[in-house]
Amino acid sequence: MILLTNISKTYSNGTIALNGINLYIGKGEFAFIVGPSGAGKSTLIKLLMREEVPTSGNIIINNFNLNSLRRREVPYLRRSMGIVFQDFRLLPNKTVYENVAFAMQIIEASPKEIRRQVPYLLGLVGLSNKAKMYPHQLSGGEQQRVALARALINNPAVLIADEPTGNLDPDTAWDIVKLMHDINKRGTTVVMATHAKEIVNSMKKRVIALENGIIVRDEEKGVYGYEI
Amino acid sequence: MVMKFRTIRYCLKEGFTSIWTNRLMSLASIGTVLACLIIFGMFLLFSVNLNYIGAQVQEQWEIKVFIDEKIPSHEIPIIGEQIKKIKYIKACTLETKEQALENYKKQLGEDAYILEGFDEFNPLRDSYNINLDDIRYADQVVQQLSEIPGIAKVKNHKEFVDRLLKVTEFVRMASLWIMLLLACIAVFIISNTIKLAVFARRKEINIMKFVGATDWFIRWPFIIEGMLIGLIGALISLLLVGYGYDYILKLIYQSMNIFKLRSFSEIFEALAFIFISFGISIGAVGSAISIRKYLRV
Repeated sequence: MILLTNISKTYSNGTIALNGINLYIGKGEFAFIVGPSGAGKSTLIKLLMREEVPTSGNIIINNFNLNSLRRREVPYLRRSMGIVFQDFRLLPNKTVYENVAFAMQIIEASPKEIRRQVPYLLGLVGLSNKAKMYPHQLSGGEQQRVALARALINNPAVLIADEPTGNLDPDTAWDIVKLMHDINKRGTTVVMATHAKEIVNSMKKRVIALENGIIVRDEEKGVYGYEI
Repeated sequence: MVMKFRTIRYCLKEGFTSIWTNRLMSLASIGTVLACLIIFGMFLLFSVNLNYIGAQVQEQWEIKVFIDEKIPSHEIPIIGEQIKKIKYIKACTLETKEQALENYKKQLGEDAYILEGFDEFNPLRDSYNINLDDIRYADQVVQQLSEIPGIAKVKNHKEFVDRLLKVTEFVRMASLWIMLLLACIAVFIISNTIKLAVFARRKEINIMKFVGATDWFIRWPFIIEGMLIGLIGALISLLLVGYGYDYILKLIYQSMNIFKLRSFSEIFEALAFIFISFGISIGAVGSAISIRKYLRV
């Protein structure tokens, strides 16, 4: 569950990135966030994962009130959500298996649990046979699937994806989105910022369109709506 | 924060493996620790030995009183008794004029023949050699000695010793300050080297933060890595300083034999303790300082 009330964000250089955003994304929803570059998509995502703090307004995610969240509580907020980035952000010195296991090690899961969970998730994203490879030995699509497995391993209530298909070719991008769709069907809330017009149009999910820091459109079963 | 045992094991393992995966940076850091500790060690050894020499000078320093040749020899011990009554005198030994002549001959060695013939007409005086508890009482003692009848002359090299001690004291203080300065420079250089290492891995730290790792979970492997680098640097520099010192000692003893210097085995334990604790704490503090900036995400 994500609730934003009157969120504004002005950067220290004077840029107004978001201006009075009100948004509710319920449990189990699948929502696209679209909009031209500079519309505030990235800022919105950064606010959700607490990379940035809003100038005004209130954010509630998974029972965490971000306004009263202390610095040392931030890791626990991030554990309650899975995050996927455009540039994958895998640990380069760790194998596929270790990258996924790492997310369990930080929550101090037992080795037994790790040995059970990691192969299961690698199977889910179809990478069981690449567990011992390093990120640089994988294709972009495979790396993103590792990132997905890592994001999901601790059963987060929310999956946040910042242009997860931005670096992938169309076919691979579709694989990733289908995977996210499956994940959504199992009950995880998915929020995905994207530029991928075809994907948004054919998925027929909720579309939230941002422009100049305000929400200009919020439709169930919406379309991308921009010409590129 | 209470860590589970498996997390401690994870941090240890990460710290050890990342030294190897980032071996070029580790090598640079070890080299920095090494250089700093070697220079530090050189000054430390220098100042320790200077101290030691100062102590020896005080120990060996003595006052010499010459007895008037008109005093009959059976009255000389009476003068000795009077000397011994003076406060702060530790020891007082008689050196007869015959002994004094022998000593001169010994000092001259092969040239001793020039003293031939003096055996019958010994021009030297009987004397007492006096050691004090502390060189600081010298003036007082000399004053009292000169009041004893039958003493012709009181000779002491106090001015010389004073000056020598002043010099050693100055050099000792100077090297202490230099060591302190070196320690600061070492921490600065090492934390910079580690900062470079951390900078190269800022993405990694960033990723850990976004997956939800706590600050300590990220910090510990780095600190352990820093401590290990410090330890390795300390052990190598201990080895180098040890062998180097032994070698230099041999060279010094070949040309100069006035003072004793500390042997390496005498100071090994203290040096090892200082080096290892210094190296480890530099590494740990350097890591902790350098990583701080990148944890603020």
